[in-house]
Amino acid sequence: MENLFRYHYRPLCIFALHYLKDIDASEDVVQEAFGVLWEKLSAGEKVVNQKGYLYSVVKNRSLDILRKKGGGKGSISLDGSVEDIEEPTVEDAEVEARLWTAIDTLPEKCREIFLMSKRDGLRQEEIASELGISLQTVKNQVSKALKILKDGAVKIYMLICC
Amino acid sequence: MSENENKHLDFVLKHYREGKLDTRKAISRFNAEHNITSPVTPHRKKGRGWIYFASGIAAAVVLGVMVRFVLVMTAEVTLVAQGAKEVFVLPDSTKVTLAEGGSLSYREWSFGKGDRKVELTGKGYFEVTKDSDQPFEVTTENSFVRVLGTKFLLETLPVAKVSLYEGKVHFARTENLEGVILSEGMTALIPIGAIKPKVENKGNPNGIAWIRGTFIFEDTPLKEVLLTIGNYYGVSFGATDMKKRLSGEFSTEDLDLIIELIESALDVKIVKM
Repeated sequence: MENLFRYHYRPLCIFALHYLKDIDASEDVVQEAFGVLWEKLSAGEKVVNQKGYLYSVVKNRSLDILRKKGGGKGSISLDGSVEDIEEPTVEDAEVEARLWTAIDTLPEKCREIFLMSKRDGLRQEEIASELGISLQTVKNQVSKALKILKDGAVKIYMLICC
Repeated sequence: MSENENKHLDFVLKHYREGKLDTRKAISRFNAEHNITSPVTPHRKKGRGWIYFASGIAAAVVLGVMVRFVLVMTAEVTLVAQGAKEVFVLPDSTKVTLAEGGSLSYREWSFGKGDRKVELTGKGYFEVTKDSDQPFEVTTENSFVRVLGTKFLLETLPVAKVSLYEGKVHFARTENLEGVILSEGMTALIPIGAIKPKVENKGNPNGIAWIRGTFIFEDTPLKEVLLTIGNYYGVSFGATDMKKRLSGEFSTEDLDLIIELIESALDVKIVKM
């Protein structure tokens, strides 16, 4: 079970994230899916494709949640209804999970600057003055991060192709 | 970066939050919610001691334990595997290999002096020293194994399961319930809710692949081969011809290498799914 977690937890969460757009809700759904599998295995049932099984449970639960949310008129619509979602594939989720991991492993300063720039949309000048560093350092760190992530991505694609 | 890669990166960036999607935390949460005793967490029973061992050197184990608990007669010794696997030698020379996170405890003052009782959580491979006067007994949360001298693998999750590699064992739900006698090359498990173990007249040569460091196949259908390897690594595979049969021994070290070797040996194409 722990190995299943190690290999599939992040990709499954990202997969759910495509539907739910909420990281905490996604983690909950994935926990639930592992629970369902666990119950089955505990009952002595054989699940041949455990990974496929987990993904289908995650997808179904996520859609259930969206349906419930989108049901009432005054309910909060997050990023639109079920129809607006581009169906994620398992491969997408795995690639994205690796990118997530790659960001996790960036050196701290590099990650901070990279996120400010690319996620929070701050201009490089703003980052430089906020952190009290030179514009060139900001530029260097952002391109360093991009290079690390890109190298990671190339490895990922090779793995998939082979 | 290609457009596709950018799309992936944008998605990840939009939702990225530091410290989220922590697999370790997720495992702890899962274990807590499903009442799975995490073996790495020491037991909190009174008078029970525990120690982490860096190596499996028998003398150090026994000596260290004695020094620490010499005055505490009721103390229990708990051995915990922190690495991928760890080998411990018990005072009666029985060798126990624990899988990561597995733990084994016994009463130091009585073990080998009247009884040979141990408690296991997680997964352990036992090579029990023969002693017909003192049976070796393993209890887990919901199973009981009694042996004289033998080699067997006992797994506790998701259900209690014994695989025999040598000799005979008695396997039951608890000490007092009717059990089954297993001999070499047999496996048995106790489904949740069942009273009596379910016996399978087939061996589990790859149950100890993690100890041996190799998978062994003998004229095994590719479907079964891929299932065995897939379960080990937590992945699943597809192949162009599942009916071909494979014989050979493969190191567990490198998944991609194993797949390559099988592909060229059987002239099939294997894909990770």
